[in-house]
Amino acid sequence: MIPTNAPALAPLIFLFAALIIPLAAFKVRRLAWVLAIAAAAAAAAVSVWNIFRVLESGTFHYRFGGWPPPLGIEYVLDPLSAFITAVINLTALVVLVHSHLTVAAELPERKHVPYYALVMLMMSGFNGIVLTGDFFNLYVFLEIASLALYGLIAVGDRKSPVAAFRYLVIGMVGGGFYLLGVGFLYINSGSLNMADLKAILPAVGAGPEIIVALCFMVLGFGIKMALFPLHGWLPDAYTYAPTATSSLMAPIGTKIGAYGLLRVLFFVFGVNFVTRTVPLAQVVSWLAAAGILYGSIMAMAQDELKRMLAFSSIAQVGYIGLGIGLANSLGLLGAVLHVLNHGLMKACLFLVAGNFRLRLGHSRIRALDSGARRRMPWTSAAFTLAALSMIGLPPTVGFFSKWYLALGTIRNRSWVFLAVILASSLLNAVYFFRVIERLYLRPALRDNEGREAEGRTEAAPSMLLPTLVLAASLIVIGLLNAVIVNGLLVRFLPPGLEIVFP
Amino acid sequence: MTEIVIPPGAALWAGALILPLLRRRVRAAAFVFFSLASLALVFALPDGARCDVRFLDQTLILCRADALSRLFGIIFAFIAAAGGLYALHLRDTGQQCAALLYAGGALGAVYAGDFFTFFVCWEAMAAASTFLVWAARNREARRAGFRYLLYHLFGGGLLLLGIFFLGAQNGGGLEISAFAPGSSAAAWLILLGVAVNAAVVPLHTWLPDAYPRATVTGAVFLSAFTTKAAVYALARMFPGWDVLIWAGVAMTLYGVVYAVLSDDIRGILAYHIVSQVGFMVAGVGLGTEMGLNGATAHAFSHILYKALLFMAAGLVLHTTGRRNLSELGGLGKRQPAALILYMIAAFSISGVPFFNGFISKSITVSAAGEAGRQAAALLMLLASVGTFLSVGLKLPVFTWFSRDRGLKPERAPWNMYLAMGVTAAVCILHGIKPGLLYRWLPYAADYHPYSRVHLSETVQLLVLTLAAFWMCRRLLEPHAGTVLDFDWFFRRPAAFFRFLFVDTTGRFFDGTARASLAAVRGLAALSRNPYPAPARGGVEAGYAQDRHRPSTRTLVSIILAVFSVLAALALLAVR
Amino acid sequence: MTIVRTILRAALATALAGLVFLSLAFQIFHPPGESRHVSWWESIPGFFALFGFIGCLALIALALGLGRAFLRKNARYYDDD
Repeated sequence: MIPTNAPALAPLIFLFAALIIPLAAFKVRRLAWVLAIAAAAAAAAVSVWNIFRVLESGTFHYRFGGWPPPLGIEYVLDPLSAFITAVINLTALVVLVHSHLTVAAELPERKHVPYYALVMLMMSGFNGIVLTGDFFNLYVFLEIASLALYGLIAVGDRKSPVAAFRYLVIGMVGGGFYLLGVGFLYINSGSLNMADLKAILPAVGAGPEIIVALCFMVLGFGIKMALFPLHGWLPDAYTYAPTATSSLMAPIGTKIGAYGLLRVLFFVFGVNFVTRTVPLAQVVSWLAAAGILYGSIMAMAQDELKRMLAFSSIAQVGYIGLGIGLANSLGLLGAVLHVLNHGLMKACLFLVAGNFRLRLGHSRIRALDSGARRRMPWTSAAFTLAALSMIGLPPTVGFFSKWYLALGTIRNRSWVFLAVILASSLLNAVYFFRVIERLYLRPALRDNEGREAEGRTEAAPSMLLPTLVLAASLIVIGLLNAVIVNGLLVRFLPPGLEIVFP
Repeated sequence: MTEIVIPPGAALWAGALILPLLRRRVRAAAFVFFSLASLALVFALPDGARCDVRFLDQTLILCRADALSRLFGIIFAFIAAAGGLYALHLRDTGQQCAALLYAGGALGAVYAGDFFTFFVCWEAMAAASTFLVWAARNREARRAGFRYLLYHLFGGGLLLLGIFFLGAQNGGGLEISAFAPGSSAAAWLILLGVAVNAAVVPLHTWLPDAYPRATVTGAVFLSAFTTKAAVYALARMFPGWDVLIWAGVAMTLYGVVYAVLSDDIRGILAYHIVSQVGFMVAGVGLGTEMGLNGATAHAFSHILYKALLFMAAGLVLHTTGRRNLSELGGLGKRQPAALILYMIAAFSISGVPFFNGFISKSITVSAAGEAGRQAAALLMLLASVGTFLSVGLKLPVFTWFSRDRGLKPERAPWNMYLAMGVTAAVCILHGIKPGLLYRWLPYAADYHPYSRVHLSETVQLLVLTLAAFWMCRRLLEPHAGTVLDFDWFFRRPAAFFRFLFVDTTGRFFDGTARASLAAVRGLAALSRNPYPAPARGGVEAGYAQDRHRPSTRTLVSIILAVFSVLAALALLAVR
Repeated sequence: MTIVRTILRAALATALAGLVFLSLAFQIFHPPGESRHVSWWESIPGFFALFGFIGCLALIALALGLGRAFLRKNARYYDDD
């Protein structure tokens, strides 16, 4: 039974967990976190196992209730969705371990249980989006995830309700656009199933409704992935949300939008349609490049660490968008690889920010000095490693996605994009080294008697361990990047873009 | 063939990891130990040894030993040990680890057999050496360190770009070998990237900007590794590229002229590095066996006497707290040992017989003459005159002689003197027995420096330079002040550029919002969302999260605008 | 003290001058043979002496000239950055 149900398991595990947690933890609040971890672990295990099964046996299709499409909803487990679900579930697991103390510290007690329930809902939504093969089902899970996320953001500090509301409005617009696109496609084809649509579309042709539908969907996903200039919701949401939420949102949330874009552009409409018939891929790549520069420049202006990381995320999502927009095999490989790599890096960075907030009471850059580093040496070291990875020093993960993306730009002879990629490394260096220099070399403040500020020391094990695990993974996964690409990722490439290595 | 080949740099990197775990008092000594261990590894490595590792469908050649690498390996390891001895009194673990990483990166770079390994070591060198600048912990050093870091990352970016191109054109083969002159875009990009580190004019400004602001002990390391690793790279990859001859000659004169003008004693030495490296670059550019011998011999000797010069200058700084010639003078009586050791280095750099400069520098000049490049040879000779003038005469005269400002220097730690003594001893040793250096040169050396012809030429040159200096010594009185260099182009307008970037981005955002609203028609006035930054102060000043937040209305209208434009474009562009 | 210094200086100057004359003599009476590759200037006796002297003066002039013209600024020139 389990093998055939495999594609549906991950979202369902989370969905059930979301239902069980409020019931089970009604009396015993601590159970909420435990159950959340259990669910995340189970989902992660299933996702990883799925990868191996896909490698062995190829793509799986699962039909809910046995109903065949276009009537029924189909879930598809192919190398791409297997990879992405594994990435997001593993990341979520690590982050959830970290979340125990931060949720306890940042949220009033009565909100802990609903918080974890919402997290489960959100993860269910994300998994569903990635696994589903049905357009409308994607919308359903998109809304599930988004609504849960709005709630998760709103329980943060004073300004978070505003941030959540802005995200809500803009997210609704995005969701609405996506739904409009789906509607247009449905009317012209009669099916909501992605595979069906892929077969039907060439016959329908490139009429204005199809084109507008594509634009709607691109915009919808673009908003979700915070593609420049649709990114306006992101800085506030990342900054004011509670630590656990931003640590979950940053590595995972925007990638889901990118996944959607990738799926629709290359697996439904096909590479020829989006590059030659309607040059949408090129537009995406230009917007992405602008986002890379914009995010990096704005990050330099920030004083708050989380906000700096938020703008940095806009830039990094730009990399993924650029890879997608390049529309060649190397670019796509780089983009999908960056989903993994950036997820690891950003998760580590946000966990570090969380550690700082909990122990130092703040995460303001200008208030950091070597006193902070002396009190929290491991966290600072993790930050430094993650920063070096973001800048792109081999053998950390950050280097490899850039490598593939750069090769992709060279293949397309897009020298401007190549320059943008390299320039962004320089800009990354500026805003990250600012922090590193403060942590390691800025003399600590001393009071009148020349003593440094007393304070609690390094983060607690349940927070430090996930941070260090992620930091270590930046190198380990970096060394394994080649294996991942050659073993798994080359298989996801859509038809028309099979791998042709130079 | 099954013996394990250990890249010598590994000993230093291992040291960098182990050092923080040791007891505080032992760390400085451990530093010297690890350096000596790497020196032993260098000597133990037979020519032709390789250490290959498979990774990412590529074969990484972590270590590939031959005579050229060995020469650099010997001197790098030695100077790391000498620098460590000089810094024995230091209690700053950060600096010690950074220096180990830096030296290890340099050793790794000269033994690397493929570009990927080379690049990793290159970047490690840049990051670690930046730390040595920042470690001075003052505002000036901080800013200079940032400029230094960005410059080197830029150079590294060019290098990486070249490597990408090379990978794309070669189908993945990245083994390091010489490029035919002017061959491909990849080669030029790599050349530019290496040229940044070699301080080729006009990409050299990071050197006189950062070196004088580094710590006393850090500057010794800085003087040795970055530029010479670049010289190695040039010798390995670009021998015989004509452009290097002219670049080198330009560097020799440029550095010397600026050295005469500079006031900070370490600034003078820094510009001197540009000049001396110019000799090496020119030697590489000649491409003949003699030219390469000259470049490498000079590199070896230069590391020795430049480190000694920086050690002496650092000692002056450490004991008096002063760094400018205009504030120094009359120290000769109180620091005779330092003066003597300095003069040994000064004689070496000037090419005085019986010191190691004499036996190495002139190889390049002769090589130029033999290769038919008379103009280049003459200009390099002129630069030698200038070298003696600024470092051999002006600097010591105004630091240790001339007017006595009544300075009371503190005592310098014994290890500084010991380190200087050891280095000086090698300078003299090689000067007396040049064969000791020549047997390590990459090509068979048929050069005899102690011919009567050569001696008489050198004597005439030096003595008459001294005479000219003596005549003009009033004119050469040091002035306080800075000297403008190519970095004017990005430093003076820096504040303006920051303003432009942030302000322009903001204005664009603002403008788009305005335009989209106008297009949507009939909406109320846009809420202002400027991102102004004052002309002074940095990007950070003036940005306030709450003032600079675009309204939701703005964001939604931008979305609608983008959609409209996108759809219009798509519909129009349908083919 | 100063008399000793003056005598020492004179002695040094004489010694150096003596070396120069020795080298000049050597160059005049033992010109380099055909076996060596020589650049045109090596066959001129006293070339290096002249080159050293004039070259040094030229460099000093160049440096000071450029410095006075536009290169020298006060120490606080870049201070607004």
